[in-house]
Amino acid sequence: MSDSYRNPFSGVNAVQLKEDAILDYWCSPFTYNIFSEIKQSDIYREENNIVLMGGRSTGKSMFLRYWSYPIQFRRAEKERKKPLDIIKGNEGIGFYFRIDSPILKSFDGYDLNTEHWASLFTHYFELTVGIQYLEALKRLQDDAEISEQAETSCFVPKVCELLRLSPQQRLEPVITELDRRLRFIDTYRGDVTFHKKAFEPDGPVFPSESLSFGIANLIIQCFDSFRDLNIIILLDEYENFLTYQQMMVNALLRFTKPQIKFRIGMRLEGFRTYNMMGTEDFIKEGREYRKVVFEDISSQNSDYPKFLAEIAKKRLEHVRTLREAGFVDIKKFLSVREDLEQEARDLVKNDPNRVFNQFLKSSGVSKKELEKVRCLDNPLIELLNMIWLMRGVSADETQQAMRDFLDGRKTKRAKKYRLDYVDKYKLSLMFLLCSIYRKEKQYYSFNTFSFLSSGIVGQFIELCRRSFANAEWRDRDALLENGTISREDQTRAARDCSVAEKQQISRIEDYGGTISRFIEKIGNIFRAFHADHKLRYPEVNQFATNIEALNDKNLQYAMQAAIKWSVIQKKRTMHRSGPGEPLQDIYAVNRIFSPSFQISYRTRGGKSVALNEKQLEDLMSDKALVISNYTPKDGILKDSASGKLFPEQ
Amino acid sequence: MERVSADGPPISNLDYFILSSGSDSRAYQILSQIQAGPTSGTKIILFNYRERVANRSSDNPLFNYRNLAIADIQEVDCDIKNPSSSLSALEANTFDETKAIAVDISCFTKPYFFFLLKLLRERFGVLKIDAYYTEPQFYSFEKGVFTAFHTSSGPLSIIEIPGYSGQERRDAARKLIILLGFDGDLSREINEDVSPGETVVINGFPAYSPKFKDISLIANEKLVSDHNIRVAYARANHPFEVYNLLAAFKKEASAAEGDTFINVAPLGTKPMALGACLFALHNPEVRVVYPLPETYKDKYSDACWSSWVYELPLA
Amino acid sequence: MTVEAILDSRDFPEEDDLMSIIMHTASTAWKHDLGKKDIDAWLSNFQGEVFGVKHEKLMALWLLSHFTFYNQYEVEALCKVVYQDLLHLLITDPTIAGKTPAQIISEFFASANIISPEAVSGSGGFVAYLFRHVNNLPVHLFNYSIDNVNDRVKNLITIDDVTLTAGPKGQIATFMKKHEQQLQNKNLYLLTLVATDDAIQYLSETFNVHVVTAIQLDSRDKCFSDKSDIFSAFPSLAEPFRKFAEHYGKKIYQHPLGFEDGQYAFGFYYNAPDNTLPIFWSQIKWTPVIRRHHKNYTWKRFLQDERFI
Repeated sequence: MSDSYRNPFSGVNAVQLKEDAILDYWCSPFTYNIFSEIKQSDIYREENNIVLMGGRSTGKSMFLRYWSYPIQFRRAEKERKKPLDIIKGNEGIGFYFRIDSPILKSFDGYDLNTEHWASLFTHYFELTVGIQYLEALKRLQDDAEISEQAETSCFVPKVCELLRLSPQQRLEPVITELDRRLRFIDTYRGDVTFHKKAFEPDGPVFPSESLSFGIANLIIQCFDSFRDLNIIILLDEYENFLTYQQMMVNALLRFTKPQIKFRIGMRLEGFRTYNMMGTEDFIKEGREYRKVVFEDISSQNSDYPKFLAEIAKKRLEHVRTLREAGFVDIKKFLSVREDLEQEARDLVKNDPNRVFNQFLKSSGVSKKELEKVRCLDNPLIELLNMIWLMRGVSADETQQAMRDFLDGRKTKRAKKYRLDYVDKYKLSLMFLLCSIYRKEKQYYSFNTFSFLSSGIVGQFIELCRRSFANAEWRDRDALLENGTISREDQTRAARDCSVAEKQQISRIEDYGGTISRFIEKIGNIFRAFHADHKLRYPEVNQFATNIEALNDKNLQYAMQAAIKWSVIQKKRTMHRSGPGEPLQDIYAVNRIFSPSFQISYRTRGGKSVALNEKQLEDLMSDKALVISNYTPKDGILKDSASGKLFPEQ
Repeated sequence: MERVSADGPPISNLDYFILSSGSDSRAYQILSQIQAGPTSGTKIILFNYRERVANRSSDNPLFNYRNLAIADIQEVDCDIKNPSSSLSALEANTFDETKAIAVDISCFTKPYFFFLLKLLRERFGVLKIDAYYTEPQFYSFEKGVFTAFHTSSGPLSIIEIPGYSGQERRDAARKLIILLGFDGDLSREINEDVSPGETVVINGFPAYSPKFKDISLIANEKLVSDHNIRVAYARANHPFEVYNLLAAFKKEASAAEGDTFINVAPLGTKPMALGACLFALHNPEVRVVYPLPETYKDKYSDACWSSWVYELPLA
Repeated sequence: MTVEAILDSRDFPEEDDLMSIIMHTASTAWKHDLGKKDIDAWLSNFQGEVFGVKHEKLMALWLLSHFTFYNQYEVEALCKVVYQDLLHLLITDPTIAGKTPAQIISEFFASANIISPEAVSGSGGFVAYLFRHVNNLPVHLFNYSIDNVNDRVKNLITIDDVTLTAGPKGQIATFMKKHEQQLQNKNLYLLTLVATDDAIQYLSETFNVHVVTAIQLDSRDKCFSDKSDIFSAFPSLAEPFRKFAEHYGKKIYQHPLGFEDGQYAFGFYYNAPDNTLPIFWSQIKWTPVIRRHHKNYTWKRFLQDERFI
């Protein structure tokens, strides 16, 4: 049985997947309301261009590839339909393009000016788009979906004229010729290193729009089947385009024709420029394109967890051992949510009186009173009771509220107690308890992993991959027999993921070191809030600042780079960083870092740490962190001289 | 390939000996054995990367070459990120196919010696060279075990090594062959950027030290654990074995249906990279990609172990 | 600093870290079904008789994290390497002139036999099978016994997995001595996957054998030598670790640090050599973490109390 087992979450990079695999693993985000900005029909029908923004591993490439014609044609085969029927049903045909960054960067340097490279790159881009149009038509022709007659009488001659080729009868020699021209460019790129020379092909150099729009228009004109269809250019990883290259494509966005539209995938802050080639004008969101964010962490309507569960199910089903055993529900492997009460009981079992003894020493409350609020069966409730005492609530009242709540009585006291314990403080209490016992909080359960992934599907998959790897290592037989993964294995996976992601920050271009220092410090500030023994500001893990207003451009660019790389994530709407504070942009640190700093992974309202420009600068610098500079005036650290939970610690 | 004995006879009868400066003790191991006095006729061309030289005092080991008895030395200032910045300085020399040329690749960055070898062939008609390489005695690992290993810091920029763009047919399937190194970040970035349909990794095995073959695999664990990835082996100090393996992959690809665009990422040892370089020189349709870091770490290996010389036919 | 202090310091990896390394190594590099349960069972051998249980576990894990395990694919790769090196040796022989490489190799194998230096069922025989298979060599080249080799065969090739012992006690040396007469007037080659530089030197000088090896070990590979790779970061720990390994080694094998004081830390997917530290492989009142199959040189029972035959 174990021979057919493999880690269900290893491998599978969307850009590398073959068509069948894309279809196998596809989960429509529209089914789960992941996007509020667009609906499925907009992919082919929306008249404006669409820019899809999200960090690495958010699923952009998978999304774009799905709508491309090879996948849709394969889908047609599987559904026993004709490709043209699928295209007509979609009301459009998609063409996926991804130019890898080594190629993009090779159109630069060697003391040749930007104009030279811009002309060459445009020619390359036009040929790349043009050849794919023809390849799609060839495929439809091979499937007898379009007639040869239409091709020879109308389309091919016009394409030859456009390309300034000698007249051809069939598509194939035209495709071959375009391929030859592209390889001529490849040869030039290789040779220019050693022989600085002009680009002199034996044919025309194609300017912008000539083929990308030119051939598209010819298709629409010459083929009845395409007359009412949209031609969608699905352009991936736009952030890798150099500035002048983006200027060229930006101009295409501005001057798109009816029935020819772009769907562009890129990182957040992936635009290097909004300028266009050949004009002083620039493109603007809302006018030239609509923006759709892939990693919106604050969308209320989305069924993001269900989306993740579905993705996981497809992965699990692909492993025969698991499929046959019926282990295809990731929630069963991970458990649905944390069992904080059990976690707390396990934490305190060797020293159940620690919290009680510490309060006895330092709170000034008598032993008799403290004993009234003990709850040996639930350390979290016991801790909450101690905190109520510190806030001035009497022991009798606390005890009564606790009893009302535990007995399920519908009293006002019970309602208040429930509000505090269940709705507000349970997770915070767990963090505080871990702090008191000097043990790390465990990070486990489907719910927790959903949060930790921060809207990035790839992060969720990585958490699962490591969890399965740990479980297999610990006891493969148990994993395959029981279909569960222990809290310890999940926690270890979360911690390792967190550390790995933190290490990657230093790889961010230009600002890696700066952002790394910032995250380290802000994480520790959040940690200090979590260790507040009065829980005045529970689960603080967000900060407020105005990036656009920063005077120091380096700071601004660093923050933008942090957003681009999903190290920090902006909340959709403005919030107040505290009662009485003005509305500001709120940023969360990517939740994947939570295990590293032992902080909450949830998105809460309430307190955010407000950061002005000077504070941001300090946090990004080498200067030592002074936490009290970032905590409220009523001071979470004020009460104890040493700043620790209890002075004796 | 032959082992070069530290106690052996001096290396003589060279017209040119080309090397890169470095603070690693391997930098001048071979240079110290070259007969380069006034009567020898050997010209030394020493590449000085500005990024390495900057802010170093004159007693830094990087300048130890100044203590050797060298009659004719040309120091070439260049930028580590831009191999063609050395072009004009090299053009002043009279390289041709009759000259005996040797290159010590020990402290060159890989893009540089890739560029250099192709330049010698393309611009100067050089048909063969001797390449020298000195192995490090040990690599520095934190806490004595291999948890993470980084040869560079800062962002990575994946580039085509200048001159090695290859030729991609539009309908060709992409195949990426990665020569594994110790820095796991690099292979992952390249695999994501190139996004091939198939990835093969070549592990340097046997390696300089028995345990290294595990280190390169666990450093690249995320990539290697993908069940679709194939693992092949070639000796870490043997460029010709890498060459033969790449040739076998090319032959396999030719026999398969459809075209294949082969990409090679030489992340492993320099001798392995040399094999990849030779293969790409003989097969210009092959692309060589490489992750150029912002900053190379100054020293992550130390001391000298065996030295080797490889006779390379550039055509 | 005391040993315990070094092991407890932040400079030394923690138990979790070492476990993690071993986990990744076993699953990624070794392709071996070594799980945590197996390691925990092995660690239970160490009862704190030298340094206290906690520290001994750490020491054992440290040694295990430096163990080199050769999986099936790697052993096959080594078989290819020694074959390629043999061919290279033949065609670069300076005494042969005027022949193409193909002629040289063809003539060589036309008068060659490949044998194992030990019993047919030993690891040498197993490696010979792999060697034949991965290099696609004809079956007739292989002979099951030196006694069967024709006098007209000029080139005799022996194959083994390890050749670690320099001196007359080594397996190859024993074989060479025993069959001195039959080996006279033959060109002798030893293809061995792993060999020490001392053993190579001894065999070539004593018996005029051309030794071709894929992995050449030296003093860096002996766990407790002063040049040991394992302790390059903590040189002061070599001696205490030695003491630790020797103490338990004495209880489980006559050569506490491996045959002829091998002190090695490596093994193959099919077996571990006895030159490797016995704390890894012994099964005598000991739970091993790596398997070793000793050769049975004495006649023993052939039935094991099976109920049905």
